[in-house]
Amino acid sequence: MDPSIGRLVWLPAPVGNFGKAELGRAFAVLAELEGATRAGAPEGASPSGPAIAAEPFLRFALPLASQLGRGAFREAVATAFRAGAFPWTCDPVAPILALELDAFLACGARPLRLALACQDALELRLGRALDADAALKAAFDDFFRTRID
Amino acid sequence: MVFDYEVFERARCGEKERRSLESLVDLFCALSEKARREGLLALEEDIGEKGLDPFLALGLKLVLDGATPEVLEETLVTSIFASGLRGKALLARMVAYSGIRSISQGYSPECTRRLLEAYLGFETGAEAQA
Repeated sequence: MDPSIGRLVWLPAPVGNFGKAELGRAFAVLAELEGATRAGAPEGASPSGPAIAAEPFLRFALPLASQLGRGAFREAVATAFRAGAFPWTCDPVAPILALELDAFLACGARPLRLALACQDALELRLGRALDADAALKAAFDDFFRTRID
Repeated sequence: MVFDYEVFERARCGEKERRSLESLVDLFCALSEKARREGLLALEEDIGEKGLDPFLALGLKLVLDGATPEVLEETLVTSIFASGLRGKALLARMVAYSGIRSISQGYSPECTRRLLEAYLGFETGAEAQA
């Protein structure tokens, strides 16, 4: 098995219908996470911003991400998706945000590493949606090109 | 440890029943706060309290005895699966197991609350009332 796919197994949530509006939300949050990484967010502090504040999933996940280790964070998020009780478990953007936050926890104040990890994870998760929609694929590639160049 | 979909399916119950488990979340937040402030041994008096659910008492006793996460999982999860419970009663056990593990890991009351809310699907505590 491709090891990059194995890394996603912790998150038992399908992405579902994903279009440009959803991609925009995911990128707005990623840009704010990246900003926090560049600013060298202090240990234990939560990243913040309007896009982050607007996401119900992050209201649940951020306190866990800022206080728990990556393993416990993954466990809590996976539990929530499996329980399926929160309304956001049906939101196609929520699993993407979970992957972004997971990459944020692992990037250690390196914005490029965050961008590369997210590009990898999102491309795998959004595989079919990106293949089927040229505009979505172009927006996706554009966003990461500006981050990584 | 994350319970699999089949277990969550067996634990499926209505919102009213899930809301009735909010007091269990509050109890674990209070216990985790006490454990952090006064040390794990301070929970001994809670174990001796009359009316404490035997599953909770067993779990807390294991924590006080220094059980590793593996031993907690083996003992408590086996007990959950052997119980044959369904619906709200099963969900309550799953929440309790997660709460006991949270105390054993020394998580803050806020983290404990969020972890347990993952099972219930709504925010609990004073912040949720505001």
